[in-house]
Order: sequence, then C-alpha cells, then structure tokens
Amino acid sequence: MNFADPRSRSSVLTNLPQRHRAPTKLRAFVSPWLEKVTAGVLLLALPFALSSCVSVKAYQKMYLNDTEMELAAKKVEVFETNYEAYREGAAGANGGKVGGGCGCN
Amino acid sequence: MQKYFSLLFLLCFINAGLMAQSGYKMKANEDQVDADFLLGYYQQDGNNGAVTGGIGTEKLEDVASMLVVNIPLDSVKALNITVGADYYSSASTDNIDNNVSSASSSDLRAYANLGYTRKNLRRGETIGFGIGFSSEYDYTSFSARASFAKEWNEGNSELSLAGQAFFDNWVVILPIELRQSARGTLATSSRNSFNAQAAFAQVISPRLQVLFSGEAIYMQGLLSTPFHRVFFSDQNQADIERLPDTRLKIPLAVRLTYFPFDQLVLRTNYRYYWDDFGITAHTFEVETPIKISPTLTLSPFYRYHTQTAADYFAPYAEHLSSDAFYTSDYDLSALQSHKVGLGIGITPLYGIARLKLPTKDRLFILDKLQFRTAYYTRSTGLDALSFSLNLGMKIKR
Repeated sequence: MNFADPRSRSSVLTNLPQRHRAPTKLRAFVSPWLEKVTAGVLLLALPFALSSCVSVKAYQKMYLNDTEMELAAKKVEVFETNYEAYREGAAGANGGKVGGGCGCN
Repeated sequence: MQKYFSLLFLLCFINAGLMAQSGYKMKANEDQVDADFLLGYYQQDGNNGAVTGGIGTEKLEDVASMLVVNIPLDSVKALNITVGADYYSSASTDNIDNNVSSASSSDLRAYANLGYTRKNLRRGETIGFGIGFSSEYDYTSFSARASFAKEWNEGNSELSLAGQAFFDNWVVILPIELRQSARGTLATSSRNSFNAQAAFAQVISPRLQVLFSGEAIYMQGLLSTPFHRVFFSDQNQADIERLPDTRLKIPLAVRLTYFPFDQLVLRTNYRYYWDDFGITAHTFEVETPIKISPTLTLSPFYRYHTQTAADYFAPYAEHLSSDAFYTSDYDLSALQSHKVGLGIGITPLYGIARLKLPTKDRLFILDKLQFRTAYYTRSTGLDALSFSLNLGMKIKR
C-alpha cells in the first residue's frame, strides 16, 4: 500500500474534504490513533446497540433458562479451573483465580 | 453511509430506552437457601519440576472441598458464603530440602469468602461487596471485591463490572543450599493483585446467547516462587527464580451457549490472553450437554490451550547468570494442552431426596448431583487426571 497517496488509505480523516483536514504533521500523528480509537469505540458500542434490537419475552425463555445455557463455567468445574491456573501461565477471564490466594502465577 | 450508521445506532438506543420503560422488573430473590457442596481430586505427573530447576518429578495429588451457600435476607438482599480447604502432597516441593522432608511436601490451604448483594428490581441493578481470606503454610491472602451489574431490555442484556484486590504475603522458603547466598536479595515478600473485570451478556434469540468479557490484572511484589531453582550454562552455582516485580495481564473471552435441538446444548468458550511477561495464549473449549432424559444429562467436553513462552523462561541449565530475570518453570514455557472428559448431571424434577426440617416448616432438598472427570495432557509431558462432584441442595418452605 502506498501510504503517500491519500486515496489508498481508508482513513476517516484523509477522506474528509480538504477544508476539514488537519495540518499534515498533526494528521500524520492523530490519524492512526483516531482510527484505532474510533474502531474501538464502535466495536464496544456495537453489542449495546444490537442489544436493543433483540427482545426475547419471558415466556420465550424456556431454553435460555435451562441450567446448561448459563453463560458461566459450571460450579463443578471450579477445581479444574484452579488446576489450569497453576499449570498454565495464562490465567484469567474464566471465573477462576487470577492472582492471590494460591501462590500460582 | 455515516448517516445511516448514525440513524441505526440512534434507533437502537431509543429502542433500548423505550424497553427500559416497559415496566419490566428483574427477578427477585427466591425464598430458599441454595447450597453446593463440592469435592475434587486431582493428580498429575511430569518431569519438569520447577523446584529442581526444570528437571525432576512434578508428581502431585490434591484433594479439595468447598461449600458455597447463598442465603436470601429478603427479596433483594442476599449473603453468599464460600468456605473450602485443599490438601495436597507434592513430590516436587519435597525437594526444597533434600535432607529433611519439608513441611511443604504436604500442605493444607483453607479459605473463606463472604459476599453481600443488593438488587434494585425496578432499575434492574445489583450491587455487591465481598471480602476473602486464604491461608496455607507459606502463603496468606486477603481480598476485597466490589461489583455492579445492570440488566435491561427485559433481561435480554446485562452489563457487569467488578473490581477485586488481593493482598498476599509469602513466608519466604528458599532451597536448602541457597539459604545463605540468596536470602538477602529478595526485596519484598508481599504480592498485591488488582483486577478490573467487565462483561456484557446478550440474548440473541430464544435459543442463543453470548457473553463478552475482559479483565485487566495488575500484579506487583514478589511474583516469582522463592523455592524454585534455576541452573545456568555459564556457572555451577544455582540461584532462585527471579521475575520482574510487576506484571500486567489482559485476558479477553467470548462465551456462547446455543440450544439447537431439544436434547442438545452447545457451550463454547474462546479466550485470548496477553501479558507483559511475553505470554500470548489462545484457549478454546466446547461442551455438548446431551439430555438423555429430563433427569439425566451427559456432557462430553474438550479444551485446547496454546501459549508462547515467557521472555524469562529457559529449560534446565540454559540460562546465563548475567540475565536479570530467569525461570525454568514449565508453566511459563511455550506449550499446548488438551483436556477431554465427561460430565454427568442428575437433576430430578422434585429432587433426589427430601427431608422435612422441624424448624419453620422448612424442607431440605438434595436437588442435583453433578460428576465430572477430565484427562489433561500438556506438550511438555505433564499428564493429569481430575474428578469433581457437586451436590446441589436447597432449603425452602
């Protein structure tokens, strides 16, 4: 990709009309960060936006209320999660210990 | 195009606002005490013991028990109590002192957590606080936790935030031959960890829901294990494991549960992990509970994990003594692991057993029984086997 050619970049800033563009030096610094921040904010906002588009009524939740459908590790898995926290340097985001209380990692 | 996106977002948020005003109330606490009694057994064996510098036995056995009790104080307030104990015996830690069987060759870890939650049913919010304590022979830990959760969109969306702090302390036990040379060089015996967690759960359809979660974990203090040995390629004198005194971990996860047929559920979980020790990891899990009958569920599962090595890891006698940090702990090495197993769940509609209690016309119900066994194998040669049992109980009117 030819970064010197603004037409080759899919940047929000660089696609603005000339009068709205920031000075070149500032744009070169801000643009990559702004793109990442914009993408991050959109990514974070997307589930929230989509959330309001889906509405399952209480009487339709027969399957969702099944214990196997829980969006969490089962209680019976708790010891396995602990053992994995000991045996693998990468622990966390699974409901197990993530530091403290076990002397591991 | 941007206008269309803006309009879409605006409509969705307005929609959310309208739904929030539809009079929906979150579920109140049920008038029953829930309890789970868990038992676990674990054994492993391998040949990369960190106590002996990356060679030697990793044989270990652990027997664990835990009781989790949830006591509703009224329709919105509840107490949660967790108590437990692990007893383990380790051939590896017995090598801390080769002459005397050390106290750490078998040890008991006891722990307790107390939590309090309060719901605002109309606003769909739950706040929680908790404290915890854990103690073993050479390690003590105090923790505090605060959480906030909000559900909206008739309970189809939920955002939860939590913060947790651990304040831990080591009793520094060094390998016997290094006690004169290395003891004075440890700056601290404390380890503090601070976790921030966020999770967003969303119902997609009457049979499908998803959870996105992320954590940021910052640790500081003595992050190495003081009785782990490290051997060098350029000198005979060994040293204890040395690691930086701060560590930042960021795990992100997506969990999805799907009920495609009346007899089958699909549970999947993917996790990405990054930390500033140089470890990047991917973990994928799938479980397929099969409902053999309304009472019996069989749940085969599989888990795959792969990680890169920490920057400070090298095998036995491959470190240079001039390095600032070094470890030969294979838990921090590049590895792949596979776990496969089966869960069995028995949940009769009216419980497995019932007993009328003399006080206040209460009924004790042995509600469910869950059993799970797993075989775990790691590319470093470590194999493990575990068994877990959960007895679910209720006390209700």
